[in-house]
Amino acid sequence: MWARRITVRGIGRRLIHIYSLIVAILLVYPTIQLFIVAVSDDIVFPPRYFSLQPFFELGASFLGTIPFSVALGVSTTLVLIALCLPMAYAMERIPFRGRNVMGVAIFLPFILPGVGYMVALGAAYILLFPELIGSFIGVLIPVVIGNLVWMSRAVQGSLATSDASYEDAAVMLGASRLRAFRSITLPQIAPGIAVGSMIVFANSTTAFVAPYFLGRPDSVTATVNIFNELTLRGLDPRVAAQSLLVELVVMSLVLIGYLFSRKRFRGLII
Amino acid sequence: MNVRLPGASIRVEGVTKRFGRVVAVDDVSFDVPAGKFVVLLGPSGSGKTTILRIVAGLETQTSGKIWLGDTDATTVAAHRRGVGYVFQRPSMFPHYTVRENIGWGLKLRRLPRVEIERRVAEMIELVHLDGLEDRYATELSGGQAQRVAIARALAPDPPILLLDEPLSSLDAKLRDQLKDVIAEVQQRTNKTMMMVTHDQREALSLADTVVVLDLGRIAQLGSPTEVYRRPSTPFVASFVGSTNLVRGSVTGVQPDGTLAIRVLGRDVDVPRQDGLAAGDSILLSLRPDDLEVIEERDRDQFPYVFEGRLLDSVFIGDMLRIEVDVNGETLRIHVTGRARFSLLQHHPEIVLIALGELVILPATATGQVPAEL
Amino acid sequence: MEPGDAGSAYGLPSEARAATTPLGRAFPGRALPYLLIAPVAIYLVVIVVGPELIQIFYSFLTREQGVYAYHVVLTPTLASYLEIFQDSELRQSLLWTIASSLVIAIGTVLLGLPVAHYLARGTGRGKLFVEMALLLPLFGDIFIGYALLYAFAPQGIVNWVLVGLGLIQQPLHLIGNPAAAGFAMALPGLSVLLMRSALVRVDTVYEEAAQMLGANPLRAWWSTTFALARVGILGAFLLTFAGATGAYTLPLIIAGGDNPWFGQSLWRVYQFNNLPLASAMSIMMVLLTGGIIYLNIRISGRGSQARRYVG
Repeated sequence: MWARRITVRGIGRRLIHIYSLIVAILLVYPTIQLFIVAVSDDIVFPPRYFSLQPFFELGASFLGTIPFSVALGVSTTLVLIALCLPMAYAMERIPFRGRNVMGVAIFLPFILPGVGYMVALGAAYILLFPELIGSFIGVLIPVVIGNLVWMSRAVQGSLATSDASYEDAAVMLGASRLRAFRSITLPQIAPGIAVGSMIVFANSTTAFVAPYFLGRPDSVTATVNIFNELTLRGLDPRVAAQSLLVELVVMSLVLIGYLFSRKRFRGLII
Repeated sequence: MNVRLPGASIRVEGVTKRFGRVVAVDDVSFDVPAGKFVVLLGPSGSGKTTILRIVAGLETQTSGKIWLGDTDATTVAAHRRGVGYVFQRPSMFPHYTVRENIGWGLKLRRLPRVEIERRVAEMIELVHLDGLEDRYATELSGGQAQRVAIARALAPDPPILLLDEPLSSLDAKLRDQLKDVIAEVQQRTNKTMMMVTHDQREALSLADTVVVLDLGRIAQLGSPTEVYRRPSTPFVASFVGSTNLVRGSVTGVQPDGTLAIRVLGRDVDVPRQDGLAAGDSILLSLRPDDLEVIEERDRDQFPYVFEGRLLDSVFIGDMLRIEVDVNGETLRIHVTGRARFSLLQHHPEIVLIALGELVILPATATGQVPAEL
Repeated sequence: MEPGDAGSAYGLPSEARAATTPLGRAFPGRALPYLLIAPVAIYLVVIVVGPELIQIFYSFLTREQGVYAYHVVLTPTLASYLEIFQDSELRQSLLWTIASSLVIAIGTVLLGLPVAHYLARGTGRGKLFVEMALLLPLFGDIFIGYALLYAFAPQGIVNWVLVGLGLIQQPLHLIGNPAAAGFAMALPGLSVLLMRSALVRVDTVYEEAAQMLGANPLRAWWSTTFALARVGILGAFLLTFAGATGAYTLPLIIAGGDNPWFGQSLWRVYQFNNLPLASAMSIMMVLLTGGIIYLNIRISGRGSQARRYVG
């Protein structure tokens, strides 16, 4: 005799399942929206035409921001790796006084409201280093700070879950600590560094607040340029195409990092 | 509520549970009379916990019925079945004290505070948790926390108590203590209890009835003695305690029913057993504790004596575990007692084994001989 | 012959003879950890603490009317801070930001809790899709902002649906509407992941035990899983609240440069070169955000005491 019954538990579970899928679709929809506008060369819904024209008319100013964005992304990532690698090693492998303070301090830029901090930094620039305003370095500096949490959590997390015994074994066999780190531990934590790098690159390439405040027309990221064009030209399908392209490139990176190791990703946020 | 409800019977009827393509429980049926203690015994994957959860309502069966007392509980939701459940993992609510945990089910039923307090005190005494009423889970040992779980499940006075491997997460000493608590609880409350375990010693010592499960099916159902002394399949023989499985054949049946069989290279007569005819192949279960090492001069005192060669012996403190080669078969024997130890010392090569009883597994027994005995 | 030389035909590397830390592992020097964290520490001090100190300093300065323009004078005053509360626009902006952040945070938690629950307890392949979808608001919220402009446009899908369903006659002016920006900010994102980890930590056995004791599934969930995950859920709420008070980008994109958010007001003040006021406002935001985070820390500290660490 079939004993299938619809339990309250079962109904509740189903509803939550369906609701979650709806929310997920809602979150994906904006991307689809951009796509629809971009391939219809029209901002009217429902789409009336089909045209790939917007993709061919992306505009010189937009294309000009791409090298800057990419350079910003790459530099931020490299700088953060250089900064966080030694720090993470100290935090995870060496007990020292002030470790807890350092752990908290890393979160400082995360909780500082972006606008206010840009104003402070801008004021500091004007006061002390006016030549930084509008320069690449001037924008790089706050973007690095903004992404510190991500890289440090990625590297630290990777170190925390790796076994220190391998490195110690190498030392006992005669390698210097640095040599052991380079040849043993570094490959171990490479995946964590990779995931952190993908996130940092995605974030910094599309940084908005810092370049918007401290950049000049020739030193802004693609996302800022998109905003400027929106302000200038209103809702243009070309701008939608620009947004879509940047988003696809950047989010693909993030998604790849996610699919690479879901557990690692979750650990970054907890 | 002062009236103690008598235990209620449980009936499992044709229950099957499929998880995708895996059949966890395969058409299982059995009855548990009111007030009895039944133990579902089996290795992991045998479906025992699944059956328990189906009885509880925590799992929905693919087909089959469950009767609790006179009621068809098949479509009743878990929270309305009114059965107590003790989980394998620590389940004491961490954000409540012992007292609050035990009284939780009663508070749910909106009983007056005085009644709740009285009942909680009763439960605390029942499981010997006096003095620990205001502690939280992290301040208790594993055994104490499980006792809280038992007391909490019993507080609303359910007619049936289900226990899912309650002793598994405890270390050996706590396990024995809790086993005694469970036995005591059953005696004092007379409730119907169904417990799941993979430990045959727990099963044999606590149960009125043992249900041995193998891969979702019932291999044997009977009293502890029956299951141990008269296993019906090779699986039961080797899972409940250890055994030597030996092949033999029936050479003839005499008019009075006595069977002549050939086993271990010798011809012996055994008492009548139905269902067997000349020429049949049989499987015998010889338990290591049923086999004895004897002296030559005592040979005639025993009905079944075999000669073998000592292969190996391991001293385990309270017994000597030896392996003996008898006509090509290797038998494991548990040797206890000083006298026997010295016997082996003097005659290490040729060993005489006496068998108390030859247990022939029924001819209808299904199942392969396990690769490891 | 030194103690370290014995025993090895190949000799011992000098490292092994170096000073050992309390762990007994051979490190070249006690100062190593501090050297390793120095770059980040220095960076933080110079790039974050420094400018913030300057900002604090500026917030107490006076602004005086000069011949052609304002300039700043080194007279300490609380005038800037007071102005935040006295100027009606700024005061309204502050109140609006706090109020809307509360609403947004409540909305996010309510909208996201079922999703968090699904991710924590659900079975099925849909989980992967939902998790990936959550990456979008987490790392690509700007694009969501840009996309919603098209969606909210008079010719966009939202208006098309509303008019089509007969709910409104004329298209709504959603762009430039702060409520629309609020909606975008209330979309579940980080909060879901935070709540998920709070829920995942709670063993399902408690809920089942409560059900066996007679509680219906909803009551069982409320009394056990929710009760034990409460602190984490509150943490997600507070974090979203803190983030929303400091919001700038999304309001700017969707609601425009005259939106009532405090961050936007700050930008406006900064554009008018009123550095002391801008600094005061900025410090105000820091205090607001910091206060909420501090509250969160206190609550989660106390929470784990009261609920006897579920672990």
